[in-house]
Amino acid sequence: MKYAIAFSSLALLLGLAAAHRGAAPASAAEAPASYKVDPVHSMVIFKVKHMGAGNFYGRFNQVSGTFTIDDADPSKNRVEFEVKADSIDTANKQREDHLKGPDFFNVVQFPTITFKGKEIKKAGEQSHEVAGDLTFRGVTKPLKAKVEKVGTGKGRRGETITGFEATFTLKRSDFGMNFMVGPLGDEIHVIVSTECTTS
Amino acid sequence: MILPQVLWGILLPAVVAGVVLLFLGKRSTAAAAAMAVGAGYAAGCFALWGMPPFPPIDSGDWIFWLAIAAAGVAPLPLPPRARRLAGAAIACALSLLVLLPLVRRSWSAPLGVAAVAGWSAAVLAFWWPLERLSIGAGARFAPVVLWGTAAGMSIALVAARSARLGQQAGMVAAALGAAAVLAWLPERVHLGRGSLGPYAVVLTGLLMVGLHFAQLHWAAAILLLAAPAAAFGARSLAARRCPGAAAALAGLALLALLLAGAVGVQLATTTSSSYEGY
Repeated sequence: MKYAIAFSSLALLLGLAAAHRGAAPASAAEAPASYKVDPVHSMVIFKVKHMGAGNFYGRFNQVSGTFTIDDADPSKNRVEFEVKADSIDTANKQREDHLKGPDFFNVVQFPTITFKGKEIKKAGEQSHEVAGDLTFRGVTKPLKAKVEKVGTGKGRRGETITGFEATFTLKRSDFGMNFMVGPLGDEIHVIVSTECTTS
Repeated sequence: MILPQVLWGILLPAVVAGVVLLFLGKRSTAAAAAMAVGAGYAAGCFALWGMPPFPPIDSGDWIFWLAIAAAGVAPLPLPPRARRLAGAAIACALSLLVLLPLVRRSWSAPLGVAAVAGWSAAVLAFWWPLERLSIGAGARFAPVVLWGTAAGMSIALVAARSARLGQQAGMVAAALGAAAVLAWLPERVHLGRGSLGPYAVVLTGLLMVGLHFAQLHWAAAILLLAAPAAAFGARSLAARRCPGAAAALAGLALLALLLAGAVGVQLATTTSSSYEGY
């Protein structure tokens, strides 16, 4: 019941990071690239320890975002990512109802989890580090995520699509989600998996 | 997992409330009850979740700060009119601040005004009659009714998918439990005007959050709001024909019936037909 908490933020970060990476693989001379997250093929997955025993996984199904990567002029880099907190999915309706309530995500009061990237740095051949602000349950805190480029392909209409996966860890209590910390882990591991179209 | 919740969420509020009542009960009667409930509730919240930020980010945390404000007003030597004005201001602040996220984002302006005004009236309709009824109902009957209402609300809120809201009502019930026990000692607990501010603020605030941010059913909320006054009324009516103990039992029976109805409505609306325990 307590699991879902930190994940959406993580997903946001990941999406951002992925975007960066998509642009970054290109050479420094490459033109700036703008990406739009495909919500149908993107998700945020989270993992939290349950009762000190097992790892519990859940996901958020509704994500959106855009980002721009300009290696020549990093000041133009932008990342914006949003997760609908109400889209949490744990394969158990009663647990989801609890997670959506005041004990955890409080989705009526805090319907979205957002990430706004400020910095994108190349961290490897296919990876970048994205730094920005995560806003979750009304609390905004700086966050860094590692973004890996998964691959590039062609979509159904021949458009170029690029996949990114971002990972990060956060403490849910830092964002005011302090219910049942202990039985339900405070640390949340997040994977943001995105597929993006280039605009 | 369970032990810390019981220790900090039930025993601590009861002990804190009991200590406050024992030390202040003889000197400042109604204010002692208000301060006992406020201190017990605040101690439980602080022990389980730490001090909420001020100003709160989660609008539900306003309940904590306004309960402390209500407890702080209780011992002030205010004339009755000023005390009522202070109570009305706290009730309006509670409704506005708890519901502000919905007023800003989800509701139209007329709906927001109506909801805040309606809830402010509901808070006062719960609070003021209980103080008046507690005066004439006997020092031992009133704490039991107030304790039972808080305990029933705790169960209904847990059933509404918020253990945290249920725990907060449970803290109030624990504090009232201490008062109910101490009521059997002579001259220990006096409920009356100015004594129920924190009690009313916390319980009606939890109903607001439960109804608008969790899954509390509106019918359950109405039954919970009406239950204690109905119990006092039933006792008063029965006292015209029956001896005191029988009249008190009649009041408690109606209280139990209304609380059971509230919990039943809540369970019926939030429990799935197929078991999906987690």
